Amino acid sequence: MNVFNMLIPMTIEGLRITIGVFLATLVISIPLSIIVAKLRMSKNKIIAKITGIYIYIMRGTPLLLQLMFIFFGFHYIPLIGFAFGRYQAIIIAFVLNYTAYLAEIFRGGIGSIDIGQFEACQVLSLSKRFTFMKVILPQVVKNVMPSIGNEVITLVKDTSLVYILGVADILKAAKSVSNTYSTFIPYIFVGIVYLLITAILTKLLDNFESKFSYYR
Amino acid sequence: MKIFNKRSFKLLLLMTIIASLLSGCSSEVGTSSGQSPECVEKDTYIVGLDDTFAPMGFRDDNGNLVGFDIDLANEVAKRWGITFKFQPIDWSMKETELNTGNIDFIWNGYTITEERKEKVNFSEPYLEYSQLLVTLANSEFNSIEDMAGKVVSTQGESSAVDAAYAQPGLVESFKNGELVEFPTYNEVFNDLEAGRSDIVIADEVLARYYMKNKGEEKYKILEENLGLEEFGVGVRKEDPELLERLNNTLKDIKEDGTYDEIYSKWFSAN
Amino acid sequence: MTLVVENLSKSYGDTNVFSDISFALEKGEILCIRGKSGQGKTTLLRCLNNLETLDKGSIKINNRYLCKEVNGKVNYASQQELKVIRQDIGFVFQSFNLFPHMTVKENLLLAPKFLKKLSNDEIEKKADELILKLDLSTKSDNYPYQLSGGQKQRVAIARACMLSPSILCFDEPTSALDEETMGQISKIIKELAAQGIAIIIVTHDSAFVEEIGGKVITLKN
Repeated sequence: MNVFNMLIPMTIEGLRITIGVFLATLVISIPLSIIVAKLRMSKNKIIAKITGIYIYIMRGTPLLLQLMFIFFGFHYIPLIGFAFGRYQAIIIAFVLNYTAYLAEIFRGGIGSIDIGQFEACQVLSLSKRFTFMKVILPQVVKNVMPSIGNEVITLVKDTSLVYILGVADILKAAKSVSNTYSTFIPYIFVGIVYLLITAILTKLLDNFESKFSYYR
Repeated sequence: MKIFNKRSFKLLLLMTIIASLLSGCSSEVGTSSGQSPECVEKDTYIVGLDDTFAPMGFRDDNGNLVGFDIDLANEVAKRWGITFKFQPIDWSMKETELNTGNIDFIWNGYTITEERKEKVNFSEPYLEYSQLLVTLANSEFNSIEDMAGKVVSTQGESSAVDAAYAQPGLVESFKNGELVEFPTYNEVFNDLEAGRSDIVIADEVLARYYMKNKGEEKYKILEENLGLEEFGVGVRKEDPELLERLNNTLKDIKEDGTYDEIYSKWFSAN
Repeated sequence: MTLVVENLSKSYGDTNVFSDISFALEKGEILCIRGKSGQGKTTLLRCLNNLETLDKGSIKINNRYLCKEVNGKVNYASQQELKVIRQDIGFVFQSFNLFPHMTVKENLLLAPKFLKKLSNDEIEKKADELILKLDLSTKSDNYPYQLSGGQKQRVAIARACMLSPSILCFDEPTSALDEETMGQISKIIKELAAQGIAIIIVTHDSAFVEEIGGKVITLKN
């Protein structure tokens, strides 16, 4: 059918954006969120408070608004002599937003580790850093995997918000084709693409989770 | 210590993939022409458009930007000896995109309204059209009075909305006293077809395009309409020289017959 | 003297946990600290391992001060010194606190491989010896969840012994064990003492105290 001659190349173009935003957000956010979680749990009250405010703002406002603010908002703040490009703004907004959500998950995960694990490391003269990397984090990752998996799947769908900055992801591609041909088919097609991506991710996440099932 | 263990190699590989994915998208940085109005003649200008607005600016079968506005803008650029960059934007953000300097023109079936004149400068109008009232062919609605108590829908953020509200008491007479707004005309016409909307208010240009696509015989255009409107190009208020230059070129294009050539390419003669 | 503690006192707010406790231990001596639950036995043990801080008193391990009371104020050793002193005193927790994501052998290897006081070969050799001695040979590649209470305890002991401490502390070692394994643990503790390790045991179990012998301190409020 004629529609697909237009739909398939445009969807492939859109996939570059959808997958690009998805991977960039994950690769940057996950390590960053572990650091933010540690800052949030810091004994230094000021650091913990500032991190808390950051998380509050990111979780308390829509990602769409954050995208708009980061791309357009700086223009309205006097004496800021720069503006982000569209793609920069997208990555910054997504990373800031997802880091906040993931940080809360990691904070919960770290908090759920038995204090005895920390003490066992302490009496064995392990450094705090080594303790965290080798003993605590591996257990945290196992505990938080289901929640992280949820966020990963949500992220796939959230990438469609880039439309607000005029960037064409797969949903926007469908919208364009739908308008040209006045048909609903592209939306069904792109829905299937989302389901396929989610199916692949679910499989990958399951595999990753089962890697941690060797212990209880 | 090994610097490149297997894991860091994987990470590096992933980063490279992402970089190559995103580099495919040219990462232009917002122009700052908003702050420097004296810099009139630039190498390029950025035309902001909603690329789902057929037939003014939209994607053809190959995904290329085409349309009446695209041709007109390209003609202007040609006469200025430069090429324009076309930046798709979200239509709800158009004035923000313009005033934050991310685009230089709003040029995509942009209807001239009093409200918008407060936010942007308009070029001289380059196209006139009516706001049509469309129903299904078998409906019994025939006049503006028949809209009372009916579900009436249109594209949100569009001039049709302004046209409806411009008629005193009209929107209040609709069912629930509201005008139903959808993101695009595509959804508007789908809703009409599904029988949820009774009457649609639509730009003439668009209405005829959609009806042609979906089958003209299915629809009926009421004789009455909501009045004549005009398309203009939106330019930042801080760029009066750019506006003047654009107006002069548009005038030339109209006078030497190029405008008629472009018009007949996109619209039927009647 | 391997361990000298003088005038240890600790309270939480108005609640006095223990006060004015002093004792000394020689190489290979066994000390049982007895008392009902909630009488600060475990807290005392945790103070010796610097898991909690003291209000008053001095602790000296192998002639190095973990903390020293000067003019009514307890001064702790620097972080660097603490790291060294701490390796002389091991702790077997009541709930063992094994690392659940590591095998028995990995549990043993983690700390020595981080501290790097021995070569990797020496560390491996030492782990194998301890695994053999504590009858864990068939379990060395198992994870903690696959072990019984007694086995977990022996892993915890082996893990502490990997750092060759001169003092080993046990918090309620009989709480998770049945009669049979209780006999095993007292045998192991006596063997460790025979090798010259000073042993401190916190317990409420009088029968166990009798079986193990050694000095006894009873905590009373």
